[in-house]
Amino acid sequence: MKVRTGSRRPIALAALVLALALAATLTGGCWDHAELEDLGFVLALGLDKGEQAPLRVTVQIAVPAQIAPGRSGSGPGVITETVEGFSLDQVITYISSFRHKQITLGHNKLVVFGKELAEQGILAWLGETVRDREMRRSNDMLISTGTAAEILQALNTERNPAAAIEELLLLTRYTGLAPRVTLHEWLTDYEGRIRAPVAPVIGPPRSPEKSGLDQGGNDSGGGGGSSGGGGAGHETGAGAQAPPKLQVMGTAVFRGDRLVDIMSGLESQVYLMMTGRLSRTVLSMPLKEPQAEVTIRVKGEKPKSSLTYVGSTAEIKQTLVFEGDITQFVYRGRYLTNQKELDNVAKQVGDHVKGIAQELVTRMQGLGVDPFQYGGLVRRRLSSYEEWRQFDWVPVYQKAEVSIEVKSFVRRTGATLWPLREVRPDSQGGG
Amino acid sequence: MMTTRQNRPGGVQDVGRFPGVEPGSSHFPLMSPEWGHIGTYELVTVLTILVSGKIFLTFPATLTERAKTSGWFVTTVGALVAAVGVIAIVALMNRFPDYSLSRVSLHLAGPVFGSVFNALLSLFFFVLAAIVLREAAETLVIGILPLTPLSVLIVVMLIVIAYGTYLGIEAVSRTAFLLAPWLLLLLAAILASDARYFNFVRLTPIWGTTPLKEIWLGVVRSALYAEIVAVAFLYPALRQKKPVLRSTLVSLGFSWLIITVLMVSVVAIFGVTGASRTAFPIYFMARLIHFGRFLQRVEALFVFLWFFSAALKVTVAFYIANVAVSETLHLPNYRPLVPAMSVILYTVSFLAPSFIAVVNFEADIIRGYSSLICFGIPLILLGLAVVTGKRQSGSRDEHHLRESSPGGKEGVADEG
Repeated sequence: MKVRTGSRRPIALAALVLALALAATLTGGCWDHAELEDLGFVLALGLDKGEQAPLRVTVQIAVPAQIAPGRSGSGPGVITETVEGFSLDQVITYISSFRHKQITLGHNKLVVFGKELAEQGILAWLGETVRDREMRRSNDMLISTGTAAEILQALNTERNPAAAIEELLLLTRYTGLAPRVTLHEWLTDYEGRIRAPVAPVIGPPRSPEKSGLDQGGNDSGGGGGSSGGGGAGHETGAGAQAPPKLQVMGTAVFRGDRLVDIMSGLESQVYLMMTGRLSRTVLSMPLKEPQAEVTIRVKGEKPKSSLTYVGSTAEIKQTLVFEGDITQFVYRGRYLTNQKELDNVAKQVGDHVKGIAQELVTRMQGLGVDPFQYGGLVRRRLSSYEEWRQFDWVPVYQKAEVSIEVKSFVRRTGATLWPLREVRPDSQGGG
Repeated sequence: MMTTRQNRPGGVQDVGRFPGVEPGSSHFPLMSPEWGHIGTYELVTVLTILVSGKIFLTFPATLTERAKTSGWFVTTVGALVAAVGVIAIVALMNRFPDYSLSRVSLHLAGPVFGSVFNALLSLFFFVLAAIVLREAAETLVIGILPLTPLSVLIVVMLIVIAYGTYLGIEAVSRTAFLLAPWLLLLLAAILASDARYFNFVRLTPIWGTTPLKEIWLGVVRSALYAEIVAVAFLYPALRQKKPVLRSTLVSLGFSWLIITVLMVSVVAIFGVTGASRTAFPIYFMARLIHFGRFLQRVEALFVFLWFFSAALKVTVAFYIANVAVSETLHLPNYRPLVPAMSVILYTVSFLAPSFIAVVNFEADIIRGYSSLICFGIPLILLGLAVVTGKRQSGSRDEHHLRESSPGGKEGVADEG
């Protein structure tokens, strides 16, 4: 049994003092301490092809006094700097030297790649960003329709530009006009070869597209999104609410690490549906019978895919299932009053989606990229990972027969059961 | 009459002395009950942390590099092989319930071969402690404290480890038992938070190479459970000997579950190439946690997980290395060795010229051959015990009765 004695007290006291002194010394982080006011927090990072050097880096450095909640600062919340160099770390160090701040990437939220750099290949620069201990793989990734510097400059007037972009990206869950992709997801897709990596596209606002087989085209490689036809257009007139300066719409598709195609907003909606990543979106399209315009709010569901081999040709069957609620139905007459009519609308919407999906697959097969994860179907059938590594999926995919079936359902017709009844003008106001 | 601390008024009992042991006795005393006792739950916790603690370091990356998508299969085969090893170890130790493995080794294999066996076992745990210490410190340098010298981090960790070792296995096992639920909770939080990144297609095809190659890899990689041999060194401290087999198999099962779930998660999140390339996959899983703008950059919370799991693992390994050395050298107490061994541990942890060298040494040597030492030596000793029919006669109670009887000496009858 232990009996404490007075003679041990000085030792215990000395040990306690030593422990407290050590704690005071070490918890302060002697070597890694950093004063908050000495740090320059990068909120957004833009990477472009340089002119004098391989890389042009644009950084948005936070001005905490302007961003802090409760402060009514008059200026922008960030300082934007663009510098060319040979590596990200070199440029960051260079910016630190004239900004008199220790630039840190620990709070960076997104990385924007310029289109030209993306077409050239981004792996080297992306690899460098994830090797950096401060960078997070959870950073969002965007591809600019022009240069990354333009995007970050356009956001310069925002009080908190990174928060503004984050809101835009959060909205993709609601709009379904672009996927939301982090550096981690891009890298795992690139390395895993299960599906071609994709990224959302950011650029100046464009008009919405009207869905339809005749108008659902793309402007591949041309800056994303299509002008569509007959859309509502983008109003900028005086008195109208100030338009957003930037828009996240479209999907950049990569072959390896090079940008090879950009899906339009409408194609992105269908693409997300095909990959089970669609949360919800709104599709607007003309109907042939009856001649009407329908707008439908779609809720995404997981698609089902299967693969069979007929000889050496792969046959891929994909079934897309979605439910929609009609939110607008522009038609002069009485319609949507029974199940048969609802089924007719659902079938026509499904046919539209099927057409867009089929065209998209054909285009991607032509480019030799599989962003749909059809490769995963083959991968499951192989016996070993080594076999998968040696298996060249792309030629098989390019020759594969892909048939898409769409099962669409219209469950609700909005808040009205019946369409508004047309009233003859001469019968109005007659008392 | 000489005044000892024990009979000094108000003195503290010297826990390192063994009553009834004559200086220069050729027999090493039984483990003193004052060194501490371990209950069944504490045993399960200590063994589980000792075996599965490696998952927080580079182990997932190095195993994925070799096993590809079938890491889960390799860990399962390894666990089955290790279970056979555990049965052999417990069968051996049940013949000598009051001895530790190092003493059993000297007793059965003689002073020369017994010392060689002990040196190998001690070296295994010592090198393991050095590697884990270095890797844990490197994690902190690479991930959190890049400007802090590695030596400072190692010294700080070493202070905690040496103090824990000095206090003995009871203190360490109780600490482990208190921390285990929190460590599990944090681990579960990481997995739940990263669920959105799971893609199970990345786990296909189910075989990395061929089933036969994977089975062989599993047999070789049973070394990833090699630390379970620690139970043989903790044997004298166990309160109850009867449920040892069950509790050791339970801790092996828990370790398998933790390692396998995390291996599957790492591959499902990073893919084979990504998981093989990422230095500390579990740490980077914590860095992926991102719930909107309100919950992100929370990995600092999980540093707790890294530090304590590494500290506990190294402490137990270091404790066993000390005990094995002291028993081989017939020292009555391991505690005087702790400061000297700590200095050597510090030095050994710096022997590798680079972090990559440490990772390769652990993956190729420690996880390649340690089964031979940790399961092979007990198997040889069990064979010797069966052939010679040796076993310890008399329980600890009998031993103490003999010790306390007038003229009682060592009280250990060697022949069965």
